[in-house]
Amino acid sequence: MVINLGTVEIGQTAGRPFLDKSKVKIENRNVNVYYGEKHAIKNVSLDIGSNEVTAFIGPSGCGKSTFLRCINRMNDTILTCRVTGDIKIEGKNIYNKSEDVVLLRARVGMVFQKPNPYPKSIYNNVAYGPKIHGLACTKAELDEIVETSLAKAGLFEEVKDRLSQPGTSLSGGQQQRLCIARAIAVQPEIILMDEPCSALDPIATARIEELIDELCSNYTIIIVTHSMQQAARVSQRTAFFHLGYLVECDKTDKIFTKPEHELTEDYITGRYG
Amino acid sequence: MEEHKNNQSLKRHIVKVFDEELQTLRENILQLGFLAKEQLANALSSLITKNHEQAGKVVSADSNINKLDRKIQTMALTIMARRQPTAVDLRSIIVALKISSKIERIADYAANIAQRVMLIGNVPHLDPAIRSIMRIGNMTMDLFNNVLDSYNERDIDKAIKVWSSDAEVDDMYVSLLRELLTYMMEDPRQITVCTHLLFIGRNLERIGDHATSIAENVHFMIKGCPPSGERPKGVHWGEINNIDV
Repeated sequence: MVINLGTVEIGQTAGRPFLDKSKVKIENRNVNVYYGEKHAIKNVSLDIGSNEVTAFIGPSGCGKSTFLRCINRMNDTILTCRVTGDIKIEGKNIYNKSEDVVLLRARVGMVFQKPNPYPKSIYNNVAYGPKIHGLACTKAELDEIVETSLAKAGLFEEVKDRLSQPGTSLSGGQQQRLCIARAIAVQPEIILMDEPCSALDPIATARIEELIDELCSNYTIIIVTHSMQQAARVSQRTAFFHLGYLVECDKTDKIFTKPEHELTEDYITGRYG
Repeated sequence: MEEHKNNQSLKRHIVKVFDEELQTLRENILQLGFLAKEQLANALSSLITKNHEQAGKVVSADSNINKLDRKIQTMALTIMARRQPTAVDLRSIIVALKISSKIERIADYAANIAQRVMLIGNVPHLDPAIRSIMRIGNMTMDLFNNVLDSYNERDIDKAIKVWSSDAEVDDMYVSLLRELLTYMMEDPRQITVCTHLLFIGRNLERIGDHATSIAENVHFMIKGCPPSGERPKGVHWGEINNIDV
């Protein structure tokens, strides 16, 4: 389908939305999402590469967060939401009836816009997931997971002497890193981040970005961001959404220097509106 | 060819002051180009009329060009720091920086021509060689004019035309080299003056090269890539082994 927006047409996704099969972690084909009558995601097909950061950008309401939430079936919690098409993680369709959604969400962790630590201690925020998923048999094993996860999230040195204090006692940036540690603790393969720095100051943002850079060697990361500079800084590939369509997806270097689609160029240069 | 013309300049940014900053940067580049053109025209005019006073003015006016070049660099840095430009905006600013320094070099060559005019004195027997230099000068002036137009109008066709025309300047320069060598071999007392004229010719040939390079930058600014294929090149002076005198 091709729609015409004044002088600009959106049809087939511009750029290179597909990857070599050996590099694909998540294969999305003809994904459509409906909220009741509203068609929120329109026939989106793209590959997400393994062990790299993919940024989703686009104006508010373009569908980037909706699409992100399809990848760990968070949209299942919305009664009117219907998803069609294929989303396969390592070749397996996550919308199969046999798919255990709880296990899926352990494999595909999520970090939200606002840090949301549980009303528990720093230690228990991280230990909760491994406990319920049975990842540790002994207290020593659990301690090990908590320490490793906090260390991977770059937080352990800052909190090692106050693990029993409430997670909510930390600063905003620390809370967000605690949430990342919590996601890492259940050994996910994919981490979804929905505007993870929008509530943080520039220093805390820089720490999260540094962390994303370190984490991408072990995890596949998808980040939704309104900051195009952030997308340019942290991601290897960028996907631009508009009105539910995937307009363009390509290497980040290309998107920010020489995008193919006029709408992408208008958006990233601030001529959109 | 019409589809090559880029109409992106017609679209406005949401932040209007960003448009104004880019426009001011562009106007300053054009002003720098205008001043450099004037310098080159005056330097060539002083050569043909042997007007040392005019040549002296060209030499002293060079500092204005250097000042404007520095102002453009500061403006470009400020825009990059404040706006974090991307895509066509980023390319426009990077290209403005590069073009500015190339125009500044063109003006340096014009000033160098004027300096040599003051050293040459009155040499009526070398007028034919000076006329040859003027032919190269007129050709390079045209190239420089056209490439500034291509930048101003974002006209990729004009830029490609300049990019592919520099070979003629190269050929004319080689021809001048042959001519001046003849004079020098005929009368070794002319070697000093002829060397100055040779350097003037060389300066004009370099100005042609800079115009070509500006054309490549205009192409990159509009399309995001350099012109495709090899640039046509004339005979290189280094290829001349046997000059028939």
